[in-house]
Formats: sequence, structure tokens, C-alpha cells
Amino acid sequence: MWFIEKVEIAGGFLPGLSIQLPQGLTCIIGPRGSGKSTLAESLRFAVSGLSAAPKHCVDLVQANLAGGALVTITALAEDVGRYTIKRSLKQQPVLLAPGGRTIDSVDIDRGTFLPLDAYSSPEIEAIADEVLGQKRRTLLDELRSEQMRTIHLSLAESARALDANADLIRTTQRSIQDLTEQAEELGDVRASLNALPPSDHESTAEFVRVSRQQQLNQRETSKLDAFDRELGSVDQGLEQLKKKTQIVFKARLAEEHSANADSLRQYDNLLASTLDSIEDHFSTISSQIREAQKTIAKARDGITQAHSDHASELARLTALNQAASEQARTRATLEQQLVKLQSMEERRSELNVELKTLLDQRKSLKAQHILTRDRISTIREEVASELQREAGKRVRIRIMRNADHLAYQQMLTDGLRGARVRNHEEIIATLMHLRPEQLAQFIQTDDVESLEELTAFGRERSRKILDAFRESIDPLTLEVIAIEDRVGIELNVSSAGKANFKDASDLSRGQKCTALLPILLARRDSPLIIDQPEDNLDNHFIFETVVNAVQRLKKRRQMIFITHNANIPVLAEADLVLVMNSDGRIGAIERSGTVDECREQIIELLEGGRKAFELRSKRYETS
Amino acid sequence: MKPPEIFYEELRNLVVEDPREARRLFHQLLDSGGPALDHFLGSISSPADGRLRQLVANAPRNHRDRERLIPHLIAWQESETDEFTQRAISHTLDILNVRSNAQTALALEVARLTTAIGREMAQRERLNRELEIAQEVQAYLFPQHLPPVTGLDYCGQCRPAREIGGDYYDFLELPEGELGIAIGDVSGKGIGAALLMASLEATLRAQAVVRHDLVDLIKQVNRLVSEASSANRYATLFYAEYDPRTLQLSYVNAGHNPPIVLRHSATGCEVMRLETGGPVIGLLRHSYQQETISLRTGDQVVLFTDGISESMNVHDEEWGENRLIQCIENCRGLSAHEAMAKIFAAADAFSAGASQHDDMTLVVLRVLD
Repeated sequence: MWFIEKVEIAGGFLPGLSIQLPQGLTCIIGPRGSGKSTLAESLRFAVSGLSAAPKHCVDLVQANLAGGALVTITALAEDVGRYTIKRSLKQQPVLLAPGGRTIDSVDIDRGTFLPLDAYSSPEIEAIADEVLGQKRRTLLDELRSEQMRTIHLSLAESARALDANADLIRTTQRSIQDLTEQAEELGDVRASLNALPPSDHESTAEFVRVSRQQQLNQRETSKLDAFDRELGSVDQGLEQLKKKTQIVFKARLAEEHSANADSLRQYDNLLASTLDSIEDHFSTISSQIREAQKTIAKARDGITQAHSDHASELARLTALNQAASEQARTRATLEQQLVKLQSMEERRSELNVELKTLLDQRKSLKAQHILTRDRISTIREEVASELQREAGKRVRIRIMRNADHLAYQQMLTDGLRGARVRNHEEIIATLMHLRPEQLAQFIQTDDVESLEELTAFGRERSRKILDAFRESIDPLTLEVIAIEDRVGIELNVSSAGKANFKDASDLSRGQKCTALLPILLARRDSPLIIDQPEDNLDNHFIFETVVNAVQRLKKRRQMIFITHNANIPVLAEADLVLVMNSDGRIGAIERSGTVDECREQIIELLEGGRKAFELRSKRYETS
Repeated sequence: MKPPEIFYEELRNLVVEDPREARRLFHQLLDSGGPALDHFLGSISSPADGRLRQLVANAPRNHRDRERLIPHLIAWQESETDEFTQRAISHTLDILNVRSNAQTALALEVARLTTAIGREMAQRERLNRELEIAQEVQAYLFPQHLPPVTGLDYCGQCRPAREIGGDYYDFLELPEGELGIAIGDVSGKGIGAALLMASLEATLRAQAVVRHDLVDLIKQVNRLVSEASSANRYATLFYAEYDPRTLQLSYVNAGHNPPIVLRHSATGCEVMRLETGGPVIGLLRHSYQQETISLRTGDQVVLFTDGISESMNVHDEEWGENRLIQCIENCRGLSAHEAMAKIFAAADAFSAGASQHDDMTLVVLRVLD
């Protein structure tokens, strides 16, 4: 709890300004251009710097505090003492602790050391106008900044974990996909292997046996040939021996004319008969050889059939063997492929297990993330109901959970673009009653039945929509897409009877301020600077909503109002009224004092001034 | 089956983790029907439970589901703050073409009450503070404000016994400026009685604004209440409508202690009892009769429950209606509030020292000059 006790300005548009401010309500009034906003913005500038200020405020400060103007603020903090802040445009701000020591360790611009709430009229309007978006949420979130920061840290952490998990899931899915494709390319190896005829081991043994026999056959044939040949040469030798013998025996012992002729003739006859006997022997041998040759021919005949049988058997087996070896080659290739396939399948089932683990992890990560997000809404509801209690019945502030879902809607709209269905808008409107995590599950599991059941689109349309989404929407992104609450700030514009609450964005400028003021007032205990719009507040509501709240809450926090409505200073009993004026070159405080002391100026400058005083005196009478 | 709290907690997580599985589980609960379902429906009214309400909104598949779930959807629709749930509820109601009429107003009221009760039960079940709940329900059912009626001074009060009974009274603001006045006594004690009372109040409030004929109204209330409550529960009910323009009081007395009308005149004191009607409601279909009497200025009408007339002293003697009438006679010229205070005081004085054994309820009307 602290308040601005004193402000001094040296130089600029408000040179020499020096004023003590009370702890309660200060109202700054004065004609246009008299320096009211400059004073308010100088206070904000001194306390919070320019880094967080909106552009029009920066412009104002830069124009009106140019030339090295120095703003000095004395802040009185409860239980601690007086801090002094000196700040000019060009130099670093100086913060002096109670006792005059300079403090360097505090960055006062962060707004946590001496928190200040300052709202210019464009800022108030911007909050009122922003139906979706962060401004209204900030109004609530700021009040639980520590809690919110912790939640946002854990959200950021779970978002990172979700991202990492999504990457792993995608990689794994891609690998599984690749493996599946490769496996498909290999075709059905197992079936091909099974379709091969069994390899025939018997025929191989037979082939070996028959081809060995073939060798024996050849040797048999050559033996027969050799026998035949040798036998022929024996026969020829015998013929020659026979002829030689005949020639030998042709010689006669007896000479015709010799005396011994007769005696020798006798021997010649003997020899001649020997020749006969010899020739008989020769022909016997010859015929024996013939017999032998016949025997061999017979043997040859006997074996030829067997040999040719063997030869044809061998030919058959050779052909068979050749086919078998081709098959063996195929088999070997197929068996290699099978091994490859099996390892792919093993890998794939490993990956499937990994994927399942990843998806399970994701489930709990996702739930944790989304439920943490829900906690923000719950905190906002608490804050809203606290503010509601303070803000009174005219103004309604409520949290509409998940109502700021443009990103989700956009994703669906984009996703539907390629779908061949009509009435996209109507479809989107229906789909928007499904939560992202629900729809993501349908996409991920291709669950057309559930989609159909929950949307009543019918089977064919559901199919087309789901197909389009499966093509274009990543369910992992969809299920945790950012969805925010909408903060409804509404004013009951009906003066009697049934309430008629209108959102701040639909109100007139004056009403906008009326709707927001009670909330801004009630938010916290730090000093509050309000620069009201030139448009008069809607008098209709001012009592119920603003005046009472100001009167009640000014005990709790310092309020500095630039106001154009007399009811605020007069009926909320301003502790100090500052009347400002300007000669066009510089502005100054023309008069300051209590409401009564500034009565004349209030009546003159503010709309409804006289009436406000009348009301005030009536109130005094009754009380 | 698991203890409900664990089941809800699991479902809260599951509906985020695996929405389809959550849906399957809820369908199981829906098919099992019974008190677990009512308990569940009653305990998911926190803003953070939007996903669970959405489960319910997406669930109606057949006629039986609809009968059970639609009243809750109607009740939630108004106050739903979760965008998706809001859309899902509207989608379902649109598809089923649920119209907003007196019937749904009734459904809405009943669902509102069962939701409130269910929520309380969920929170307190373990503590077994049934009586306290019933008391709160009862207090919640008594009129929170009295609609102003020209020329009529009236008030009502119920003093609950320690063990809660089933007394009930209500004032209804009717469309044409009349005042509806109800007093009744529900059989039994505890939650069961409180539920019947809630259903009685809801039915009466829903029907009174759309039905002008009293007999028709009570017949309808009788029918709806007997459908909504178990077979052996019933309630006495006296319902009257007072028209401040004509000073006429039309009423139907369904088995309730006949209220007393006291008219002072020069000659003395005239006592009338408002007896016309029929049997208690909630048990049988029966026909009722109504009567209309003309009140005069100065007339006093006292409606009471048996807790007043039968309040007992330490000797177990009843105070009795005669003593009550005597007491009222002595209230001449007093305002309704003063008369009421006096009657309570007299009954208390009689039973001095004895503990109050039943709810004591009084409604006093006085026609002003």
C-alpha cells in the first residue's frame, strides 16, 4: 500500500508545478488543453517510465516534458517511508530510499516495486472495444500475477514437452510408414517361398549314382572295344602265320631229277600231311577267335540297352538338376529377403510399441496441459467474482470459458477448404461444439462413426469432412491449439424492470467508461489514475456504478481522476480538486482546494455541476 | 462400482485424455441409471466441469435418455459459461426440438433444485449431514420476498423442528396481480421429504402462472407430484388465490388442516373454516373442488400446519384448534406480524418446557381498510 504524496515538475508545459496529493480522491478539472492529461501522464511517466505506456501517452509526455523537464514524485509507502523518484526524458530515473540513499537494484519500470494503475481514455475504450483478445484478460490476470506466472511457466514447459513428444511421434510414424512401404515393395515373400516346389534331394543322389554308372559304362564300352581290337590283331597274326606256314610247307625236299627223289618224296608226303594237320589247327584257332568275337559282340549287345537307358536317365536327371539349381538360387534370394522383412517387421513392432508409449505419454501431457489451462480460467472466475462483488449490480463481469477460439475456428475453416461439401459455415458452426481434443481424436483414429453421431452430418458428409481434415490438419497441433477465455464486461442499460446487459463493446463512449470504471476501481490498492473521456459519463448510471464505488474505495486506494462529470468530485466527496488552466504556452494549477472551495469552478467547468451540488445538499439533509 | 468421487475425478481427467473413452464410461453410467446418475448430474455444476456437462449434452440417444437429461440441459443452458458446452447444449436441444413452455419451465425448476441438492449431497455425503441439507433445502424453498399486494397485510413463517419435518409455505406473484398462497405438509422427514417439497414447489410455481382454473391446477400438481415421488409419499396442500380488486379468495384444500377465517362484527366473532377441496396430493388421481369466499375488511385468515394445533405440553396434551381460534380472536386489530408473533408465543407458552416435535408454520392474512 502506497500513494503519491507530492509531485513537482520543473520545466516543460507545467513548469514550477508543485502539489501535495491526498491519500483519497483527487479530481483534476479544467478546460481542454489546460494540462490535465499532461499532469496525469507525468505521474505515470515518473512512476512507470514509458516502456509500457501506449503511444499517445508517449507522444504527450515527449511533447510536454521536452527540454529536460524533471518530474519529482514523493511516494509514501506504508510501514516503510518516503521514496523519491526523479525522472526526465533523457536521463535514467533516480530512486531514493527513505533516508535519501540511492537505490540501483530496483527496476521501477517493471511495475512491481511501486505498482501504479493508470488508464487514459483511449486505453479504457480499447479495453471496452476488445471483445476478444488479451486486454480484458490482463485486467484480471494482473491481479494474480504470481500465480499466473507459475502457471504460464508450467504451461510453457508442458508445451515444450508436447512439442518434443509430437516430433518423436511424427518421426516414429514416418519410420513406420517407410518400413511399411518397403515391406510392401518386397511383396509377399513368405507366399513366394511357400509356392516354390520342395527341393528334391533324392533326384540329386540318383543323379550322382547314374552319372557314376555312366563313367563305368564308358569303361565297359572301351574294354569291349579293346578286346575286339586285340582279338582282331590276334586273328591277323594267325592269318600271317598260316600263310607263312603254307609258304614254308610249299618247299619240296625231293628234286625231280634226283635220285633221291623217290625217297624224299615220301617225306615230302609226310610233311604235306603235317601241313594239313597244322592248317586244321589254324582253322580251329580261327574259328575259336570268331567264337570269341561273337561272344564279345553278344556282350556288347547285352550291355548297349542298359547303357542307353543309363544315358537317357542321366539326360533326364541333368535337366532336372539344372531346374533345381535355378530354384535354389531363387530360394536363396527369397530367403535373404525374408530375413530382411523379418527384421523390418521386428523394427516396426518395436516402433509401434514406442509409438504407443509416446501416445500414452502424450495423453497425460495433454491432459496436464489442458487442465493447467483450465486452472487459469478458474482463477479468472475467482477474480471476476471478487471484482463483481465490488462493482455492484449494474455491471456484470464474467468469464466465458473457451469463447476466444479464433485460431481453432480458422484451423477448421482452412482444413475444410479442400473438402467437397457445401455450406462450410454451417459445418464449422456445428463442429465448433466439439472441443479440439475431441476432434483431434476423431482425425487421429479416423473415427467417422463418432463424428457422425455427434454432428448429425450423415455418413457421407462426415466421411468427406474427416478425409479433408486428415489430409490437412495435424491432430497433434489441433488438440492443444490455444483457446482462450473471453471476459465479458457488461452494463445493464435498462433503467427499470428486466435487466438488459450489453457488452462494453456495444456501448456508447460514455457508457463504456461507466462499465469499466467500477472494475478498474475495484481491482487493487495501488494508486489509480484515470483520464476520463471527454464524453460525459452516462449520468443515468453514474450513481449506482461509479460514484458509490469511488466513495467507498477511495478509503482503500489513492485515486486521481481527470473528470468531466461533476458528480464524481461533488458526490464522491473529492478530497482535493485541482483546477487547471493554460494561456496556451504553459499550463498551471489555477486553484486547488476542497469541493466547496472550488464550487464555482466545478459549476462553471463541468456539466451538471449545479445539479450535483443540489443533490449533495439534499443528501446531507437526509443524513 | 467405484466410489463416486473417484469416478468423477477419473472422468475429469479422462475426458481430456481420451474423450471417446470418457463418453463410453458415461454411457455406462447412463445405462445403469439410478441414484449414481442423479448424483453425477447434480455434482457437475462448477464452471470447471464444462467438459462433463458437454458429455451429458452429447449423450441423449433415445427417449429414455432424453427424459432424464434434457431437464438438466435446460437448467444448465442459461448459466453455462463454457463456450463449447454451451454450443453442444444448444445443438442437442435444437436437434431434439425442445420447446420452451410451461412443461420445460417445470423441468427447469426441478433440475435446478435437484442440481442444487445433488451438489450439496456430493459435498456432504461423507459427513452424512442429511438433515442439515434438508433444512437448507427447506429454507431455500420458503419465499425470499413477499410480493406487495394492495390492501392486504400478510406474512408467513416456518419454525423447523430439530428433526426436520416437511412443512412448506409459499407466496406466488400471479400475472394479473393476484396473490397465490400455499401451505402444505409433506409426509416423512429428511431428504425424501425435502425432495418432494421441492418438486411440489417447482410444480406449483410452474403451473400456477399458466393455469387459471384452480381445480385444474391442483389436479395437474397432483398428477405431476405423484409421478415425481415414490408411492408412499404424499403431501397436504392448501392453495388459494386472493384477488385484491374483488377481495375474493378462491381456494382448494387438498387434505390440509382447514385454515381459519375470523370475522369480527358488532354481534361478535364469526369463524369460518376453509374445507372444500379433496384428498392429499401425491397418492391418488382424484377430483377436487374449489370454493370462493368474499373477504371483508378486517377479516383475519390464519393458515397453519399441525405443528401449531398439535403442539404439546410436557403432559402430552395437545394445544388444539379451539385454543388456536381463541388466540386468534384476541388478535383483533393487530398487524399480521404481531398476530403471528402472538400465536407462536401462545403455542410456546402452552408447551413450555416440552421440545418442539414438529415443524410449526403459520401464514396470517389481514384485509386492510
